[in-house]
Amino acid sequence: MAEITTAATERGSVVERNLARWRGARRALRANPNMLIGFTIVAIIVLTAILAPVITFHSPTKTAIFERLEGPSLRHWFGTDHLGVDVYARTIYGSQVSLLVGTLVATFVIAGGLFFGLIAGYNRALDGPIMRVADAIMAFPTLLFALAIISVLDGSIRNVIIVLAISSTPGMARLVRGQVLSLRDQQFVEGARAIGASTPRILIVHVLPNTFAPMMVMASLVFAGSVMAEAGLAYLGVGAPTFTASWGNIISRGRDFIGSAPWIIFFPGMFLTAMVLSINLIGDGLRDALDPRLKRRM
Amino acid sequence: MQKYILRRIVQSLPIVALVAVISFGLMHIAPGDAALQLMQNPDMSQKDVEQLRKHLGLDGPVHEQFVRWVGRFVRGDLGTGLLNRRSVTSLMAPRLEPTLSIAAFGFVLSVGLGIPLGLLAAWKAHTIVDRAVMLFTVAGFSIPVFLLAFVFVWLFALKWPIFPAIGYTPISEGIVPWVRSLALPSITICIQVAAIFTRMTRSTMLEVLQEDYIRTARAKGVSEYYVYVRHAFKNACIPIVTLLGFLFIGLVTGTILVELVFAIPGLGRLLVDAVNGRDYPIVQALLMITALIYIYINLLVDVVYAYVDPRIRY
Repeated sequence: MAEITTAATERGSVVERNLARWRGARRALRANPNMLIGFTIVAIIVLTAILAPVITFHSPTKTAIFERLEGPSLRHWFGTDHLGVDVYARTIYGSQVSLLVGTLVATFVIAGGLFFGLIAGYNRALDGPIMRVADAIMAFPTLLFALAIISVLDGSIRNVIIVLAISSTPGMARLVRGQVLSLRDQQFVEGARAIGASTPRILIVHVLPNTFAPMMVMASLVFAGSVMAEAGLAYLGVGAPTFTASWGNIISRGRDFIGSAPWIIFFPGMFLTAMVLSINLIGDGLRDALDPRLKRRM
Repeated sequence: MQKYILRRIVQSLPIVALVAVISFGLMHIAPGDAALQLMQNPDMSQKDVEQLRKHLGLDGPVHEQFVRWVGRFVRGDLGTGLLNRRSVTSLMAPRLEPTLSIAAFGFVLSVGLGIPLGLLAAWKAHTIVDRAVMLFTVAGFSIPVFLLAFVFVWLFALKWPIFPAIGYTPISEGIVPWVRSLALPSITICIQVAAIFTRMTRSTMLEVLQEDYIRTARAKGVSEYYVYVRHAFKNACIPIVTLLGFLFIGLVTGTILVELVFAIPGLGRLLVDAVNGRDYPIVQALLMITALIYIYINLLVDVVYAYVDPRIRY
């Protein structure tokens, strides 16, 4: 009986601690202006992505041969590229691609990382094999891995998302596994096992909530990294097909005109940097707020 | 110690095997196989496809192909390029100098910039200097490498022509032109890595400065300079060494992106051209080699770590 009460109070205190962390997060948001800046920029980019058809006045793909390489003007806010396409429209539509890639990759990585990390952390027999495969995938730098796979498959947004997710999942799985291993022998988990809770229940009710904070921090890194990798791939000419309005594609097209028409690169570049920067600012803030222990690292 | 090194080497073998499987598997993830993918040209006959399969080592059962591929790789035969029928090693050889030059400069610059900045931030912790340095680091790894490259080209080659905008001058044509041609690419790739070094140096220094032996040193009357350099930095160096793996990934990624901007005929350019031309043997070889180097850099880091800090050798 004593066991049960200890388990119950232990668990209660864990939930409490989590709530306290979130309250801490809210407070940190107010205290940490960088994080607020990050959220504001992301919110603006999300809004432009949603409202893209409303706030642009030209097609992001229609070429206009007599309006090539025009500088920024009232008609073309961000100028036009060498095919006469409105850079403003392409940049705004480009935020859709980046947000899609970042969100989906981060989601897949969280799901995959949880799945493999929980299994590896809780099942000694599967731990070794899962982690060795993770180590092997992590031995390939993301950009190189993505380039290699896309050389065989076709460069489409879907394939880019899949490849980036595969490349980033092992890191998340390793993180979750580490959390599970450190939580596994804690009293509240032992208590839960003592009162007969099943393994899935222990994992979902007791272990999962406690892995949340570091996972969110890592997810923000994955999000920012994927947005950057997608742009990098597009820039190298192996990402989304060139007619797709993606920031990397626009920059890639502007490459040869950097001397005569720097605006082609400047505006999408600003958006790309702003997006990655704001996600990183949010991630930094989250790390400080959700887990003060991590504050000292990096 | 020898036992530890041996154990780490043995532990790395399954990972190496898996890396080989993944690199080899590249040719098999295409619908059909790589030969069929390449053969979308309707002029190709069934016989041509068979011939290409043979050339790519795609004939026979999969496990035999794998054994053959690994066997050749171990003997130093990295295969033959599809587009110009030269061995991958001979294609790689002339590309080594530019890439290694950029990487070496990038390495020196990242460490030379990152560690002092980190020390500065730790020394001036929680002041405006610290904040400025930290802002630089967040910005540093938020600006995509290729974008930074364009900014530098625009500023230092077009606006103020201090450095050449593109191209690589081999070292045999003189040290000064060589350094000038390397300046922009290596500064570009160092920023991101330097940012990571700065953060890591700062945080480990702050951690070490909390230790009792620092207080003891100060109590003994050791000068602040000595406390920082002799007592704190020496100990902070150990965790910083673990960043070598990151550094390698940063340099590889950086050179891939930067060589295209600056039109430098290095390994990164070879890779991008091979990817665009679907020259699988080259892609496979570069993939495998990079992963192997990464695995053994990390092994080396672990060994050095264990050597410096015996508590690690559990």
